[in-house]
Amino acid sequence: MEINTHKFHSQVRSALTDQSLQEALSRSIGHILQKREKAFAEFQEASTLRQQAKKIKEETIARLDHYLDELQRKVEESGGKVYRARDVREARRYIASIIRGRKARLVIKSKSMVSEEIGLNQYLEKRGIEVVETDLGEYIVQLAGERPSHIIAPAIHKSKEEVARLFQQRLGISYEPAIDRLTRVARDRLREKFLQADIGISGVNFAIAQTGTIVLVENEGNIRFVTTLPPVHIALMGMEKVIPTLDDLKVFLALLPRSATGQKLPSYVSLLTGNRGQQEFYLIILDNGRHRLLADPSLREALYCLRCGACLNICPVYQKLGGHAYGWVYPGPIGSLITPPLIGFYRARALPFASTLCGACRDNCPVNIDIPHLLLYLRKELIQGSNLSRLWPDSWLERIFMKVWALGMTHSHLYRLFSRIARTVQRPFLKEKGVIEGLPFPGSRWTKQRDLPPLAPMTFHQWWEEQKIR
Amino acid sequence: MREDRIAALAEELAKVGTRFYLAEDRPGLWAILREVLNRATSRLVAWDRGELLQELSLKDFLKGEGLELIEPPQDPTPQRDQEKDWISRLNRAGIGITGLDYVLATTGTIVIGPSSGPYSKAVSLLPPIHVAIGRPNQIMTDLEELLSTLSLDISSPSLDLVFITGPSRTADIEQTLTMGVHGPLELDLILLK
Repeated sequence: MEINTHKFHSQVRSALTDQSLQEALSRSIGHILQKREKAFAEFQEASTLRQQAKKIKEETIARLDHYLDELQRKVEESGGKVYRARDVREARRYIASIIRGRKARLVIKSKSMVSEEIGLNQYLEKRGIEVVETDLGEYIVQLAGERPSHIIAPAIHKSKEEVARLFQQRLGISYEPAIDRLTRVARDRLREKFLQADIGISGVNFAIAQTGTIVLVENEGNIRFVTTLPPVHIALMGMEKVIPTLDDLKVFLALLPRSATGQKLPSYVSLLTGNRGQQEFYLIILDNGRHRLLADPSLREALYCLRCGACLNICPVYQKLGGHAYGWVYPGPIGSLITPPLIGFYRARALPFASTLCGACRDNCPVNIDIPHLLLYLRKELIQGSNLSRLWPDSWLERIFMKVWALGMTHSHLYRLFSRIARTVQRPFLKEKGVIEGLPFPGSRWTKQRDLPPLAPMTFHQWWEEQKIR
Repeated sequence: MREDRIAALAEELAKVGTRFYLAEDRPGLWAILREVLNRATSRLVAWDRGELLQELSLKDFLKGEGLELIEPPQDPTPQRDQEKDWISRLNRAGIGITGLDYVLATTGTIVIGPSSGPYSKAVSLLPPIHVAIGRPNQIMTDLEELLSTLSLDISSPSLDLVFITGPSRTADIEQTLTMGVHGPLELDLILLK
C-alpha cells in the first residue's frame, strides 16, 4: 500500500474544502453514531464486559508467542497450513505461491485491512491474477480505483449519486441513484464471480488458540461465499488477533458488533477450523511492525484493538477529514496511534498531532484503549525522544508563542497590556456572527478553517469596577 | 419455561427480520412448508441431508409436491467438477431447506453446523430464500450458553459453524439499511414440536 502520511497537511486542506465529501461524511457518520448509541443504551453489561475484554487482551498480548504457537498447532492438527509472515514481502510472496501452485486465475476477496496493509490486490493484479473485492463497500472502492476510507464502511465517503455514476461508467448500466437497485446490481455481478473463483481470501476477526478456529463477522454474506465455495481458502490476520479460548468469544462477540454497527449480533458469524471437507485452508499471521508495538510497554495497549471503527465515528477530526487524508490504511484515532510505529515514526509524524485529545475515542473503545494518552506519549517521543524538534516546522513559532504566553501569565501588568492590545487588534477581524476570521499569518493558520472566539469587550476587572460604581 | 423461551425467541426473530412458524405435528409442518414454497419464484428446491430432514423424509414430501429437487452430492469426497456442477444448479434454486444445530433465543440466531447437513452452509446461502427446520429442544438461551456447551467438548471434530441472525443485509451506501445483498433475501425458521 502506497504511503502518503507525509502529505497529511495538504490532504487535510483538500478534504476540508471537498463539499461532497463533507456532506457524505456528516450524513453517514450521523447514522452510525445513532445506531451505536441505541445499542449501548440497552446494554447494561457494557462496562463490565469492556473491562473483561481488556483484561483478556492484556493477558493474551503479554504471552503472545505462547498463544500463537498454540493456534498454529491447532490449525495444523485440523489439516490447515500456517505461515508466519514477518513483513509485506513475505506475506505477498507466500500468497502468490499458493495461487501459482493452483494455477488460479480468479481470486475473490472479503474485507481485510491486513490485505490493504500489504497492498495485495495491486501485487496480484501485476502478476495477471484477477482479484475481486466482494464486500459492497470494497467493491465500490475497487471500481473507483480508490482505497477504503473507513475500517468497516469502506465507501463512507461516497454518496449514492457518486456510486450510481461509478456503476454507470464501469458496469455500463443506466444512471439511477436508488440504493436498493445499486445493491441488486452488485449482487448479480458478484454472484458470477463467486461461482467461478478458484481461491477465496478473507481476513480474520478473532483466532481462537484453544481450538484453531478463526471467527469472521459480517452482514452481507460475501464472507460466507469466499470461505465456502472456492476449493482454497486463505485467511490473513495481524498477529494481535488471537484470543485464548472459545469461551472468551462471548465477550468479544457481545462488544464488536455493537461497537461497529450497533447490532447485538450481525447477520452472519462464521467459525471455521482448518481444512473443511475437500477445502484447503491457509492461515497467514502477519507481524509487519507489530513487534515494535509489542516491545514498547506503553504502546502495547494499541494491540488490543478489535478494528470496530467506533473511535473513527466519534472523532471530531475523522468526522471532518474522512479516512483518505490520513494517508495510509488505518485512519482515525487508532490509525494516528498505530501508523507511526508500523510504518516509521518520521514518515507518519503528523498523525499523533491530528487529535484534539478530547477523549471521545477512549470513551467509545470496546477494550478501553487510552488513545489520547498514547497519542501524547507519541508526541513526546517525537519531540523529545529524538532530534526531530529541530526539524519540526512549527516548533520555533510554537516556542516563541509559549514564551510570550508564559511571560504574560506571570506578570499582571504585561497580561493587561497584552489583552488591551489584543482587544484593539481583533476589531477589524471581528465578523458579524461574533467570531474572528481572516487573521494574517501566523494567525491565519487557525482562522483559515476555523472560527476564533474573540476576547470579551471588557475585562472582568473593568466590569467589576463598573458594578461598584453603580 | 419452554413456552417463555419460544415467546422470547419469536420476539427477537421478528426484530431481525426472520419469519417464524411453530408446527404442532407433521401435517402442520407440511402445511407451513407449502405456504413457504409458494413464495419461491422457481420450482427448483435445494435441500441437504441433515439428521432431522432425513428423519422427516422431507425428500418424499417435496417430490410428492411435484417440485424439482436439487440433491447435494452423494459421494463423500466428490470431484471438483461434480461439486461445481452442483453449485451452479444450487444457484438456480428458488429456495434452500436445511436442518439446524441450535437456535439462540435472546438474539434470534439460527446455528448451522454438522447436524444441519454436510452441505448446509451452501444450501443456506445461495438461494434467495432459506428455510431452516428444527425442534424446540434445540433452543438455547444465548451465545454464552452455546459457547460453554461447545467448550465442554472441544476435542470433538473441528468447529465449523455459521450463526445466522436475520437475512443478508448491508449499509455500505450512505449507511442506509438494504436487505439481501449477497445471501438470502428471506429467512424462515420452522420449529416442529
